[in-house]
Amino acid sequence: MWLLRPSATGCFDKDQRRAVEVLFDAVLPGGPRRPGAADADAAEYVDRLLAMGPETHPEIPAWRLAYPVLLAALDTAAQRAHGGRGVADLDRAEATALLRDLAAGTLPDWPAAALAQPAAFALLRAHCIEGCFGDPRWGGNREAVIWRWFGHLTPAEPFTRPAGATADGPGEDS
Amino acid sequence: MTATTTAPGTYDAIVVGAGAGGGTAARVLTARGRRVAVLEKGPLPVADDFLPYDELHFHTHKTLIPHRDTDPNIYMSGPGQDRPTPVERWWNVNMAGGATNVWDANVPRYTEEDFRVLDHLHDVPPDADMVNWPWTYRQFEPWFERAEYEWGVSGRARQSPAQEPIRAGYDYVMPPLRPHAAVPFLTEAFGRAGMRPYLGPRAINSRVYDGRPACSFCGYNQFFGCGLNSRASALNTVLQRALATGRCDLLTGHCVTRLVHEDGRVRGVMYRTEPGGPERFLGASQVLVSVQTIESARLFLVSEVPDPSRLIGHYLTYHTHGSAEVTLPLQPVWTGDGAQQPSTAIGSLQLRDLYVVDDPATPVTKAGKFSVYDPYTCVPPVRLVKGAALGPGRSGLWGEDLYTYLEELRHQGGAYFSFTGEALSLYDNRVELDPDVTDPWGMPAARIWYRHHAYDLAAARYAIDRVVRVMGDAGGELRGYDVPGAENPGYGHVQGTLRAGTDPGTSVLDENCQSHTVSGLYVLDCAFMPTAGASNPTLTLLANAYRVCEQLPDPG
Repeated sequence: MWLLRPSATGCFDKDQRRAVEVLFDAVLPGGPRRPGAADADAAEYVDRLLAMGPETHPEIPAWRLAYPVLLAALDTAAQRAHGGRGVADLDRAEATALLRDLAAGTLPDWPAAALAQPAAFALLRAHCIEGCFGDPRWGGNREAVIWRWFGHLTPAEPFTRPAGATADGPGEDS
Repeated sequence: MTATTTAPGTYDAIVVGAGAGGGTAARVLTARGRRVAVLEKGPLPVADDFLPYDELHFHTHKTLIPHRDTDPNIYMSGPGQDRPTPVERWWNVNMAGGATNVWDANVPRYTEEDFRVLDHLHDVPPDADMVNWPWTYRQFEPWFERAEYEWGVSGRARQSPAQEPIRAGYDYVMPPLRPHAAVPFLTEAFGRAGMRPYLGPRAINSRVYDGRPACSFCGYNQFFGCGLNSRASALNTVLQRALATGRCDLLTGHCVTRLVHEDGRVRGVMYRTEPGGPERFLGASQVLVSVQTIESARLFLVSEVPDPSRLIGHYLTYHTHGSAEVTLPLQPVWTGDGAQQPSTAIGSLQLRDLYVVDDPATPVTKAGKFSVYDPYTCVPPVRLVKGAALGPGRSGLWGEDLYTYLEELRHQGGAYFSFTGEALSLYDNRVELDPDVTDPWGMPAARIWYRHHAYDLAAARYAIDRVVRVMGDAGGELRGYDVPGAENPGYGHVQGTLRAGTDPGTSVLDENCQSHTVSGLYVLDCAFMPTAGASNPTLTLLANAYRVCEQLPDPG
């Protein structure tokens, strides 16, 4: 049996973590009857993943360097477009528009030190999907919320967010 | 089962690689009374090592394959084939059992259309070098049956006229795995188009067999180890039998770095037990290599096996691969009940009606076959969702588009068709030694030149489009659509590089898969295949290994 050795701490600071949550919420935007990245806490997955070492995945050291640069570049782009508000303060529609531009590679003045825009988007999308659809033991897909709704390993269940609970996600008007 | 690391003694034969071919060689030769050393550079796994099943660990994080940055193949990419590019090696699993630890266990036979390819592939383009194999299907038939028996293949003969020809009175050792709930619908839909899909043979137990339990339909198959040994591997079938004789030493952590030969005879191998460690010699008068097509060519090149006709490494073939995924708005989600497979990663149907094509609308005369899966129940979710598409050119879904795809999966039936196709043999498609990159053991990496012939691409597109049309007529809407391009940086089934044949001027190995230039040196992986064929190749590899090893002469 192989053992997953979760890291004791995450890798992001508070602002970075919030920015990742906003971006992931736009990648898989949940709703009243569908769980999304915020319900799954997909950001927790990547936060823990980056704190692990190359023995978990050889590309983790490179990602650990890439994320702060990428998030800072996106913050700059967001501030320019939204009167000084950074990624963490965007609503879902604004975050979606930002990601659409990133995927298309059309954000202006993208720093050379950052991943190329389409590659940066692909990385965010991949990690968000892993954090939503991967095994909960890695920190995402909280309480298998996505699997239970989607129907992986057990029949699909309806999703209803508990009354009073929020997705803990940005911008959702649930 | 135990492995030994005792100092090697005197062996009748050395087997290089403990995968499908090497394990089978050990099984046959020990049964014939020979003393055999199997050198495997990886460790000895147990089924428990593959638990818990975890897609992130085993597939996303590529835990079981060599890493691209430290142990790659170097693919020459770009239109000019001038950009050395490190690529993954998805089917190199360096551990005892090799790639059969993680395979799909999809085990069709190659048939006469593959053995006598020139009889079925008409108007071969002049730049291709297609040859008939020096054996016939009928000659291989008993060896197919032996492989199906010892590896435990579930299936049913004579379901479809498109199926491999099976002799009267023969059937697989156990019935097919439970079908998916989609099987009746798909059978009828393709029947209306004159095609006859059938439940494919799988080296997966449908009931208890050979001391191994029936499949539990855990939900994981390809890219995952089997924690129950329900799926056959070299380790839980042939190697186990070889070790039980007491005449087999399985030497894990032994990387063969060179084949030693002198005056046209093999003398043994050089090996290391750790990267950077000393090279040591192990002698035997017969050496059987089975380390994967590209790897065997690399070992021949490193070992400077005489090659007067400059053929080693050439005629590399990759099967073309492509896929189509459809959603069927009027069909229910095919999750099945107790009579069908539950959510699994195992396909049910094979569609072989386009193996040979007779259609005046296309110059294609031989295409390939499909394995049919249910995208919802058969593919683990991370891989499925990353590959989500809503039609040609609409992949990489996210946001509302991704939910549209997910809701379709949750509420209506779907089908996924995975194509395996013929690939023409071209001299310039080849393996050489990379001048710059070495692997962790200090050996030059393989440098690969490979571009599919235009015929391959036309055949794949023709077959995929035919299937899409049938599904469209049945109410399906196209979602994923992946047709191959000329570049193939390393996907899938790989053959050739050490072609077998009767003429030393045009082949590296003779019809017994012995080197034309070094006697006692044999090759058992798919490198021996003179052409690609158009089916999953492992069962034919196994049949050939039984054939060669049962007829291997006494050691001299």
